Amino acid sequence: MFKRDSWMLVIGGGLLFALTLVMIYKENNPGWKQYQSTFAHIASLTIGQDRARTIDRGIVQIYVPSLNRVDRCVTCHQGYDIPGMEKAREPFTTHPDLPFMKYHTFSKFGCTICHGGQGYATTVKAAHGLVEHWDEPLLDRNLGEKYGLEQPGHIMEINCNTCHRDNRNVEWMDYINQAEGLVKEKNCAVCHIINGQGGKIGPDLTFEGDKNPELFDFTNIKHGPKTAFNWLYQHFKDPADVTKGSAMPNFGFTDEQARALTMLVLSWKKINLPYEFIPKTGIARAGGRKGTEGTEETRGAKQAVRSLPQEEVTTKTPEQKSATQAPGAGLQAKGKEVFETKGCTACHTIGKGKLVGPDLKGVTKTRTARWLADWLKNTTKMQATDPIAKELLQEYKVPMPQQDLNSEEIDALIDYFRSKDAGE
Amino acid sequence: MRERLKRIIRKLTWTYNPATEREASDSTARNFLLHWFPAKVTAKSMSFSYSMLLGTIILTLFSILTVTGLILMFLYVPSVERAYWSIKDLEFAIPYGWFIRDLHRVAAQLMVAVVFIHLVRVFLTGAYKHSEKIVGSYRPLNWWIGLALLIVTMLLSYTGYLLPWDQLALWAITIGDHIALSAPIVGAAISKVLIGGTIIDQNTLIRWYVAHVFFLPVIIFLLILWHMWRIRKDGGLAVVEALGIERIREDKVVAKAKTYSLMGIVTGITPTITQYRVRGTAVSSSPNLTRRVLLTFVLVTAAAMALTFLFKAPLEEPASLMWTPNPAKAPWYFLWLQELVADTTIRLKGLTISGGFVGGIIIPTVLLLFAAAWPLIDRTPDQAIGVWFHKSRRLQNAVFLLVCAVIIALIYVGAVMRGPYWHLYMPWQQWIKMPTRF
Repeated sequence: MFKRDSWMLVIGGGLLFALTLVMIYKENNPGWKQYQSTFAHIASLTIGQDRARTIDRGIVQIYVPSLNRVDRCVTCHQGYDIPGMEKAREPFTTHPDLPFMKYHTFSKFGCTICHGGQGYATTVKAAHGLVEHWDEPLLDRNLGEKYGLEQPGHIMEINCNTCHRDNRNVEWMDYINQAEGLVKEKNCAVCHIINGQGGKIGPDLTFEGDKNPELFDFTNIKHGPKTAFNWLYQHFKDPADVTKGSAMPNFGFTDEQARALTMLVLSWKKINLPYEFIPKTGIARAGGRKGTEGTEETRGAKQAVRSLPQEEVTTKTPEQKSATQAPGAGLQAKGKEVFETKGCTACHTIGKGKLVGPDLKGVTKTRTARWLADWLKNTTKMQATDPIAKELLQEYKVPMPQQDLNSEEIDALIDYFRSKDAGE
Repeated sequence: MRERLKRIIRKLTWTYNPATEREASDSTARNFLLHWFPAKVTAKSMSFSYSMLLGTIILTLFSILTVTGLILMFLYVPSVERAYWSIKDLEFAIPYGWFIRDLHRVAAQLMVAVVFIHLVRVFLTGAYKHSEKIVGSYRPLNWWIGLALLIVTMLLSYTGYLLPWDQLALWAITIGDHIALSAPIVGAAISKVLIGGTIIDQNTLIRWYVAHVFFLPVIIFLLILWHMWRIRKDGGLAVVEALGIERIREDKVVAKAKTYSLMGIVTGITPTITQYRVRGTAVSSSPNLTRRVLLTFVLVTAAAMALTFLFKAPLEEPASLMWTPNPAKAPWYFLWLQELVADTTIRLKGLTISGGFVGGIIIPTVLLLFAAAWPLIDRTPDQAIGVWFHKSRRLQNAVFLLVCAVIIALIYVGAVMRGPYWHLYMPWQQWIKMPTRF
C-alpha cells in the first residue's frame, strides 16, 4: 500500500509536469502569433525589411479611455496604418483612405466604435463578435450580404448614425440618408415619437435600436433569420402581416428602402459620448444650449430632443411665408402641400380606397366645412364628444392623431378637398 | 564506484525513512506544518475506502483557491465600470490570466461539490455520533463546524459569482435577493444588507468583494483550523473507534537527547514520558501520512488543471438591469432552491403566493436545522460509529440518501431541463432559439 503511494506520487508528479507543459504551450501559441509572422513576411516583401522590423509584436491595442474602448484588432490587422500595404489581403491590408478618415483618426476613435466587434478579444471569432454573449458583431460585408444589401459594406452606417443621428445628408451614409428622407416624406412622427416628439399611435422609436430582440413577436415572420434586423425589415415591407391588426399602413417600400429604414431604426441607440466626440452639427448647436446642466449624457440627449422641432421650424418657415405672400391664389396648392407633407397620406387617400382611415373623396359633400375645420383643429376632443367622430372611431378602430395645424393650413386643406370633389 | 553511484541515486531519490519510532514521532512534532498530525495513524484512517480523503481534497482545493485568488486580486478591479473589462483582460491579454481564472473557477466549483460529498460521507459512516468511550471527545461539535463550513463555502462561491459583473452574475444575485425579500418581516432588511441598498450596483459589488476576499476566507480558514483540531481532540477519525484499538501503556525514561528548560537542571529526577503503543495496525505518520497527503495534493491539482483545459469559465454580456437573460439561473448549487421556488409558487385566480419563502427559505432552513439537530436525536449504538452503512442505520441512511437524490434531481432539472421562459425541456429536446439583433 505505501509502496504504491510512492509510485503513484511519481506518476502524479509526471502528470502535473505534463499538464504544466500543456499550460505553457497553450499560453505561448495563440492564433494571433501566426498572423503576425505571416504579416512580418509579407511586410518585408512589400515595404522592405528595415521598415518591417520596426512593427510592434505581441498584443497591440488602441486604448481610448474617454470612449472606454480597448481595441486589440490591430494585433492581427497590423497593416492598418502602414502606407504601402494597400494591396495586401485581409487582415494585413492598409485601412482604406476614405475622405472622412481625416476626422476619424485611429488614435482618437479606435476601431470598434465604427466597425463593431469585440475590441478586448484576441481570437478571430470572439474579436469579430461572432460568439455567444456578445451583442455587437462586426458590421462587415458578410453581415451586409446576409441581409441582401446592394452595398453590403455599408451596413456599417448603423454605427455611423449612432453618433451622427443629428446630422443630415452625411457623406458616404447613403442608406441612412435615404431612410431619413423617407422618415420625413412619410412623416413617421405623426404616429411615432422620435426624439421626444410625435404621435402616440405607434410605439416610441427614439431608442428602438436598444430594444431587447426577445420583445419582438416572431410568430408571423416566415422568412429569414430570427433577428431584430429581419423582423424590422419584414415589418417595413408589410406591417399588418407581421403584426396582425397593426395600424401602420403598408407604404410599399422597396427592399432597399426597407433595409435602409431598418438600419436607421437600429442605429437609434443610447450612447454616452464625451463632448469632443459629439459631431458638430449646425442644426443641433444653433440657438445656444443652456450650457452646463446635467451630465454629458443628458446634455447629449437634450440636444437630440431639441434638434427635431428646430428642424421643423426651419421647414415650416418658408411655407408660412409663401402662404402670407400669396393668400387665396395658392390656397389649393398649399392644401395639397400640407396634405402630402404632414403625413395625411400615410392613412388617407383621395379616391384610391381606404387605408387606415377613410377615403377622403367626397368628404366635403358628406361633412360640412365647419365640421371638418372643427375636426382638424380638435381631433382628439371630438373623438370623445362628437357623435360622428365616435362612430368613425368605432368603425376604423385607430384614432386619428391630433395634428398641429394652424387655421390657415386647415382652410387650405378644406379648400384642397373641395377642389378635388369639384373636379369630378 | 558502484557504491558511489548507488549513493548518488539514493540521494536523488531520497525518501524519508526514520530509523526509530522516536525519530518518526519527533519529525512530526518538531515541524510546525506537520505538528497537527498525530505521531501514529491507523492504516484505515488514511485509506481511500473509508474517508475517500475528502478532507485533504478540500484542503488542496482551498489552497489552489487561495493562491489563484491572491493573484487575481492584483488583476481584478472591484468597480462596476472596470470589473467586467478586467475579466476580459484576464481572458485575452494578461499572461496566463485565462489559466488563473479558469483554475480558480474550476477549484471553486469542485470545492462546493466535494464539501457536499464530504457531508454525505460523514453521515453515511455515522462519524458525527457522540461516544462516551473517549474522554474529551465530542464529535457532534465537529459536525456543526462542518455545517458552518458548508455554508461559508457556498457563500464564498456565491460572492465570487457576482464579481465578474456580467449578466450571469447580476441575475444570479437578483434571484438570491428576491428570495431574501420574500422572507416575512425581516426580508427587506436582509435584502438591504445583502445588496447595500435597493438596487444592485457598486454598493453590492464592493461589499460582496470585501466579503469574498477577506471576511469569508478568514472565517473559513479559522473554521478549518478548528475542524482539524477537533479531529485530534476526538481521537482521530471516527473509524478508529470501530477498530477497537488496544492501547498499551508504556512509561519510558527519556534518553538525554536535548535539554529542555528547567527539567535538565533538576537533578535526581529523570522525566519520563507516557507512551501508548498501539497494537499492530498503526504506522508512523511520517512519512506514511505525509506522503499520502502530498499524493492527494498532486493528484487533485493535476485533476483541477486538466479540468481547467476542458472547461472555460463563462463570461456573459456586461451586467445590465435593462434586460434579463432568458432563462436566468442561479449558480448550480442553488439551482435546487430556485427550482423549488419555481415549483412552490402558488397561483390562485390572479393571486400569486411567492415560492421564494417556501422554497427559498423554509425548506433549506428546515433541512439545515434537521441536519444540525440530528446528532442529538440519533440513538443508534456506538458500534455504528465510523462504519459505512451500519445495519442499525439503514432507515436514516435511506431517508438521507433520498433527500440528497431529490436535491441532485432538482439541480439537474434546473440546470439542464429549464429553457427559455423556465419551460421544461427534455434533455434531448432543442430549446427554442432566442432572437438576436443581427
